[in-house]
Amino acid sequence: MNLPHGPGLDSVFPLYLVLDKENRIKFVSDQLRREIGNSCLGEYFVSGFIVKRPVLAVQMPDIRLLNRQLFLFITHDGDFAMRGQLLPPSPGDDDITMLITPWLTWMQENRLSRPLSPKSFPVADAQLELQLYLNTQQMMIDDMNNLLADLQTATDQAITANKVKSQFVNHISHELRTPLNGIVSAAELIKTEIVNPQVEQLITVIGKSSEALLGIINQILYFSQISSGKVNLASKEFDPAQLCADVLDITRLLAHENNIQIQLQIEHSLPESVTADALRIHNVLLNLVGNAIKHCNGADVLIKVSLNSIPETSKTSLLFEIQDSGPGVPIADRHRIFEPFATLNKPKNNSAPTSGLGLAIVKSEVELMSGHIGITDTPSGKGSLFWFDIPVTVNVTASIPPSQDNSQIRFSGSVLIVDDNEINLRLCMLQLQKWGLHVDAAESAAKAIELARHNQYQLILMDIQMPEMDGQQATRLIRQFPQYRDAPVIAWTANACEIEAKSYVISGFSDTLVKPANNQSFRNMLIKWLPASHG
Amino acid sequence: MYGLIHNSLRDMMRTRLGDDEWVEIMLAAGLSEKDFLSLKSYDDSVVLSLLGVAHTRTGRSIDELLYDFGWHFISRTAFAHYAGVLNMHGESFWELLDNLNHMHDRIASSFPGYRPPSFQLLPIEENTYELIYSSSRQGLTAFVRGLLDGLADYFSVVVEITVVHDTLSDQGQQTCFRLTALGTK
Ligand code: HEM
Repeated sequence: MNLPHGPGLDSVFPLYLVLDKENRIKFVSDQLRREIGNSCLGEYFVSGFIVKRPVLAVQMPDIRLLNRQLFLFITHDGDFAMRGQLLPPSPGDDDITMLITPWLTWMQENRLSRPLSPKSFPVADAQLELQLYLNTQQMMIDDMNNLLADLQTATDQAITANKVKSQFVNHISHELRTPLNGIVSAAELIKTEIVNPQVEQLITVIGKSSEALLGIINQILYFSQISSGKVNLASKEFDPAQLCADVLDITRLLAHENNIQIQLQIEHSLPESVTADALRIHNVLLNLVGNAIKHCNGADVLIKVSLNSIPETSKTSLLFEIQDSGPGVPIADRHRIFEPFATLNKPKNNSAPTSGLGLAIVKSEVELMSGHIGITDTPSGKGSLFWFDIPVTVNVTASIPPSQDNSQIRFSGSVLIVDDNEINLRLCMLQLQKWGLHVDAAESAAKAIELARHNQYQLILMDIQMPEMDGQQATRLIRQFPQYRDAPVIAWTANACEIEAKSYVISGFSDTLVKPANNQSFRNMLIKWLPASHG
Repeated sequence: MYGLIHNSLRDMMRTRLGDDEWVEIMLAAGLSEKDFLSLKSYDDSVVLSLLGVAHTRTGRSIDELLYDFGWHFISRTAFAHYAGVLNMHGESFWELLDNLNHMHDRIASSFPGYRPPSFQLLPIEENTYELIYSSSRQGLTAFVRGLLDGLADYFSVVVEITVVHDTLSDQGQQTCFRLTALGTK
C-alpha cells in the first residue's frame, strides 16, 4: 500500500491511521498497532471507536468535514484513549489520514497502571511536560498547604499564649486590688486618728499613691477584659444631652482646679432619647474630656454633640467632638496615639502616674460599640480635636420614665451598704440619704452579717471583693436569716463583665450594680427594688 | 536547583535524622520552611549549605549524605510523585536509564532556568553497559550512585556499579560508570 505521507511520518507521529473514502479504517501505523492491535481494520471510524469529541462526528454523514477539529476517542475495551486530527485530503486521493497521540490525562485518570511507551508520543507533544508540570504543581500545593498548616499552628499558639497572658494579668490585677484596697481604706482611717500634721501629710501621700495605683490596676484589668472579649454591650435608652451634662458635672471640679471653662454645644436636632450602651459612651466621653482638661494649658475645652446619618444605611450615629487648645499631637504620632502604652508626651514629674492604657481602652470601647474614633486638627489649627461616633437607635417618642428625670424622687425604708472601702461607703451613704433612705454601713462582711441579723433592711448593697470574707459568702449567710430569703441583695462590683454579673445573680444576688455607679444608675436600681414617691 | 529537589533532601534528613535535628540543620543553614517550594528555582547554595551543616552536625561525609539523598529521591520523590511519567520512560532499569535524557529534556522545556544532567547509556558487552553522566555542576557523583542503586532496588535487579573515570572541568563534571547486570532480586 502507498503511504500517503511516506514512511517518514512514523518518526514524527508514531501513531496514525488511514481512512478510506467511506471512512472505514484502512491502515494503522506500526506503533498504533502495538498499542491497540488491528482488530479495528475495516470498521467505520465512528463505530470502530467510542468517539467522545467532536459530538457532531457521530451524526455527520462525512467526518472528513471536521478536519479542523480535535477528535477524542477510546477503544471499545476502554484500554487506550487517543487525541487525533484529520489531515485534509490530498488532491486526487480519497484516503485521509488521522494523526494521533495518546490522550494522556484520560489514561492517567482511568488506566494509570497500563504501560504507555514514550515512543507513542511525538517529540514535540507537550502532554508529558504538562504531566510533569502538573505533578510538580501538586507538590507545590502540598508545600503551600503545609506552610498554611504551620501558620495555623503558630497562630493558634500565639492566641493561646495571649489568652494565658490575659488570664495572668487578670489574675494578678485581682490579687493586687484586694491588699491595695486595704491600704487605701487604712490610710483613710488612720488620717482620722492622728493629730501630728507631718504624719498626716505622709499618710495623705500613702493614700493618694495607693489610690492612683488602684486606678491603674483597675484600668489594666478592664483593658485585659475588653481585649479578651469578656465585655458585652448593655444597650438602654438615654438622653444624650443629659449624658453630656453628667460628664460635665463630674469633670467640673478638675476643670475648676485647672482654671478652665468647658463649653457644651448640643445640636438642635439632637433627639431626646436614643438607645446604645450609655455607660460605655459616658466612660469614653469622660476619659476624653479629662484628657483635654489635662492638656489644654488653661484654655477652654469645647464639647460638641450631633446626630449623623451613616452613609448608605438608614442608621444614625452620635458624633462627639472634644476640642482642646493644648500642644496638639504631631501628625506622625496620630496613628499610634490609641495604641497601648503610647506615651507621646512624657508625663511631668509631678503628674499622677498613668497606666498608658487610657486611650487604648477608649478605642476598644468605641470599637466594641461598632463606632469609630480619631484625632484631627481643630478648626483654629491649635490643639487637638478628638472625635468618636457611635451607632445609635433614635427613639421616636422618648420613653424614659418621668420618674427618672426627677431630682425630687424619694424612697422609703432602710438600706445596708457593705464595702471595705471607706470612701465608697461614705459617698454611697450620702447619695442614698439624699433620697430619704435610712442607711447603715458595714465595712466588712462580718459586720454586715451582724447588722443584718438584728435589723430588717429593705435592701442590701454588697461589695463583692472584700478581705477575709467576700460578698458572695456573706450573702449566702445573710440569705439564711428568714427576713432576707427574698429581700433584694445587690452585688456591688467593679467587674463590669456581664458574664460575671449574671453569675452573681445565679449565686444568690438579686441584681448587680456596677462601680462606679453614677446618680442615674443608683436611682434606676432603687426604683427597681424600693417603693418610691415624688415630692 | 528546583525546590522539589530541596524538598526531597529535607524529607531525607527528616526521615534519617529526625524532625528536631532537621529543624536545627535548617536554621543553622540560614533557611526556613519557605525555602522549599517545589516549583521555585533556588540557588545551588541552598543544597550545599544544608549538606555542609548536616555533615558538621552528624559527622557523616558529604558523599554519604549525597548517596542517601539519591536513594531517597528515587523512592520517595520520583516514584511517589512522578510514577506515571517514570513508568512511561521505561519498564525496566535499563530502559529507564536509556530514556533519562529524554525525560530530563522534557523537564527542561517546562522548568525555566533548569540545568539538567545528561546521561548516555552505551552497551559494552552482554549484561554490561557504560553510563556517562555529565553535569554542569561538580561533586554530585555520589548522588548519582545513590540514584542508580535506588533505581536498581525499585526494579528489583542486582547491578554492580563501578566508576571507570571521573573528570572535573570548567564545564562541570563527567563520570563514567560501568554497570553490570548480575540478575534479579
Ligand atoms: C520524574 C522524575 C524526575 C524529575 C521530575 C527530575 C527532576 C529534576 C530536577 C528538577 C532537577 C534539578 C535541576 C535544576 O533545577 O537545575 C534534577 C536534577 C537531577 N536529576 Fe532528575 N528528575 C527525575 C528523575 C531522575 C532520575 C531517575 C535520575 C537518575 C537516575 C535523575 C538524575 C538527576 C541528577 C543527577 C540531577 C542533578 C543535576 C546535575 O547533575 O547537574 N533524575 N532532576
